[in-house]
Amino acid sequence: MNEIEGSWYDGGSSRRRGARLRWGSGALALLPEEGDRISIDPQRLRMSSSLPGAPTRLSWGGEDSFVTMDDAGIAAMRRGLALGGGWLSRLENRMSIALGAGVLCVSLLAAFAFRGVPAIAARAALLLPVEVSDDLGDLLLGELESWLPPSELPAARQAELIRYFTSRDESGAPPRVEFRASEIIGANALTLSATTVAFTDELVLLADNDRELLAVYFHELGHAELRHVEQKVLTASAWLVMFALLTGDIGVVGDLLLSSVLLGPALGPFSRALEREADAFAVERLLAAGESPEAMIGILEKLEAQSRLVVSVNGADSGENDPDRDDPAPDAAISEAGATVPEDTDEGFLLRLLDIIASHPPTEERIEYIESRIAD
Amino acid sequence: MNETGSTPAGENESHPAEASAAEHFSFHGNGAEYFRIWIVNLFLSILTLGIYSAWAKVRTKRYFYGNTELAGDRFEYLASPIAILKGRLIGVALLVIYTVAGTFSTLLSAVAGGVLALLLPLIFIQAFRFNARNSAWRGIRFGFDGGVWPAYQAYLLWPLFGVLTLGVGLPYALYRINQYQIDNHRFGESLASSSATGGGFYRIALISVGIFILMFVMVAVTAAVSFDAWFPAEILAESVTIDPENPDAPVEVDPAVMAPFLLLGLLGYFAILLTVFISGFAWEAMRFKMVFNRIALAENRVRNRISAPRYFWILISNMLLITVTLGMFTPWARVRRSRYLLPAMWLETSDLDHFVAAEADRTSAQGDEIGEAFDLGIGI
Repeated sequence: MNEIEGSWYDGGSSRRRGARLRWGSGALALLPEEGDRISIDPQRLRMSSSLPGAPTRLSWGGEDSFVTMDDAGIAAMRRGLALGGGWLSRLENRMSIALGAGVLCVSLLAAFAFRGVPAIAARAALLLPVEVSDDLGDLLLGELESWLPPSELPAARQAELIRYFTSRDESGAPPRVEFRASEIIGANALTLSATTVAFTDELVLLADNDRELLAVYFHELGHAELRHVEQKVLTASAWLVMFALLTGDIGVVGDLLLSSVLLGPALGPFSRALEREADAFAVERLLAAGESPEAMIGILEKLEAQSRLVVSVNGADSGENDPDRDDPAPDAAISEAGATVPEDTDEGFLLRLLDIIASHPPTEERIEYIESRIAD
Repeated sequence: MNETGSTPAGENESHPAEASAAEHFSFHGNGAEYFRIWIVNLFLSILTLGIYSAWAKVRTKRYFYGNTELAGDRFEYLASPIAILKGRLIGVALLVIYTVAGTFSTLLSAVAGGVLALLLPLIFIQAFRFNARNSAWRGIRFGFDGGVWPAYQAYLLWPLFGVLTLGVGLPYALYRINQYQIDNHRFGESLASSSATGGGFYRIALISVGIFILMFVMVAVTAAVSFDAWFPAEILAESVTIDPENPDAPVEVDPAVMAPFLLLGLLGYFAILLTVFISGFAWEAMRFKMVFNRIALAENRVRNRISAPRYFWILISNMLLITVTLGMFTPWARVRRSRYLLPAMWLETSDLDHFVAAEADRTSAQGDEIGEAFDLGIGI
C-alpha cells in the first residue's frame, strides 16, 4: 500500500482536514485524520495535471477534493495505477528541455520573421489597392524633397524619355516617372512605390544613350510591378507587431506604426534577392522589347567606374577596400557616385548612411548574370 | 529580489475590537522554475499555431495561484482550457469581423466598432464571472454576481462622463469601475466590499498627472537646451533655404543638418514615451496599494504594507528589462512582482475555517462536465 499526505476539503466549508490518500492495485481510498474511510472509484477519479511547484488536486465526482504537494507520491501513483499524464511537467522540470525549447522558439520565430513574413508580405503586397501605392509614392517624394530637388533637365527632354520608356513597354499601366536633380545622391534611380519611379538628372547625363536608361527603367519597373517597396513596408510592420507581442507592449507599436518610423524601411535597401528579381525582370522586358541587355551592362559599368573614381579621390576608407563590406559596388538604384566630400563632415556621414543602405549584389555578379542571359 | 519576510501584525494602524490575527499571504514561486513552464508554453503555443495558448494560460495561472499561500493552504485555479480556447476563438472571430468590416467601408467599421463597444460590459461580466468561479481556496470557489445595467453604467456611462468633462471626471469613473468590480465579488457566500473613496482616486490621479507634467517639462527643457547647443542659430539659418521670390515653395533644409536633427527627434520621442510609462506605473503602484488596503470580505479585511515607490520601481525596471531582453526576462519579471506584493499583504481575520460555499456554486460544481461544455472563458 502506498500513501500520499495532503488536505481534504469537503467543498461546503473552508475547514481543512488532514488526510492520506491510499492506493493499491486498482483501488483508492481516502483516510481522513478524523472520520471514516472514504473509498474512491478509480474510474471517477479526476486529477489536475502535474505542474512544478503547484499542488495537485484530486476529485471523484462529489463536492469534496483532496489536495497534495507531494509530487513524487503523485508521480508514483500515476505509474502504479497506469493513469498516464504528467509528461508536460516532466518537460517543464528539466532545464535542458526548457533551454532546448527556448532555442527552438527563437529559431522558429526567426525563421518566421525572416522567411515567412517576407513571403506573406510579397503575396499581400500584390493585393493592396493601387491607391495605397499612389499615396506611398507621394509621401516618400515629399519626405525626400530636400534630397531630391526639382530636375534641371528641359521639360521636353523629360517628356521625350517618358514617351520613349512607355513606347517600349506595352505591358500595362506605366508608373509615374519623376526626374530630380541630386548632387547628394548622384547618378541614381529609385523605386518609391508600385506606381512611382524617380531618375536623377545625373543618371540621365551619365548614360551614353537612351537604351541604357531604358534598361534602368525596366529594372526599376521590376521593383515597382513586383511591389518590392510595399513588401518592405509590410514586412517592417509585421516585425513591429511581432516585437510588440514578444515584449508584451502593444502601445509603443501603435505609436510607431502611426509615426513615420516606417519610412525607414520604405527608403531602405532592397535585399539581394529582390535586386536579382528586378534584374531578371529587366532582362525579360528588354528582350521582349527587342533590345539587347548589353545596354544594362553598359550603364552598370559606367556607374561602377564612377564609384572607382570616387574611391580613388576619397582614399582608403570606402567599401571598395573594406573586407567587411560584401557589396563593394554601387549600381543604378543607389550609388555613391557623388561622394566627393571628405568622410568626416556631416555630409560625409550622410553619404556613408546611403552607402550602407545600398545592399546590391556586386556589379560583377550582376553583369555575369546578364551575360549568361544574353548567351541563352 | 527576494522580498519574503513576515511583518509584525502590530504595524497596521487600526485593530478591530475582537481578537483578530494577521494571516500573511506568501508566494513560493521562483523565476527559474517559472521560466521552464513559460518557455515550454511558448514553444507548444508556437508549434500548435496558438491553440495550446489556452492550456498555457491555465498552467500559468495554476502556477501563480498554486504558489500563493494563505494560512497554510494554496490557492487553486480550476478553469478548463477548452472553455478558454472557445472564448479565444470567439474573440478572434469578433476581431476578424471588425477588420473585414473595416476594409469594406468606414461606416460599416464604425457600426462594428459601436456594437463591439456595446458588447464590452457583457464581455467584462463574463470574464470576471469565469475567473472568479474558477478561483478557489480550501475547496471554496469565488464568485462574481455583477448585474448587466450596473456594468453598463460602470464601463460605458461613467467613462463617457469622464471624457465629456475633459478628463476631470475620469478618476471618479475609475472609482466607480473599481467599486463595481470588488463589490460584486464573493468568496463562497461571503461578500466582498470596497471602502475606497472617490477622493482617494483623485489624490493618486493628481500625483500621477503631476509626475507626468513635471517630467514632460524636464524633457522639453532638455530638448530645447540640447537643440540650442547642437544647432546654433547661424548654422540653422545657413542650412535653410527659403526662396524669396516664391514664399509658398517648400522650405529646403540641408540634409546634413537634418540627419542629427531627426536623431534628436527620435530621442525626444522615446523620452516622452518613457514619461507616459512612468506616470502610468506610478498610478498603478498607488492604485494597487490603495485598493488592496480597502477590501473587506465579510468580517475579514485585506491589508498591505506595500511601498508604492518600491512597487513602482519593480514595474518600471521589469518593463525595461523585458524590452532589452526581447521578452526573455518576462518570467522573472512576473515572479519578482508577486514575490514583492504577496508577502506584503495580509488578511485581518479571526476565523478562516467557517467560510461557506454558495449554494449555486455547489450545484454547478456537481454538473461540472455539462457546465464545461457551455462554459466560455474570457480573459482580460
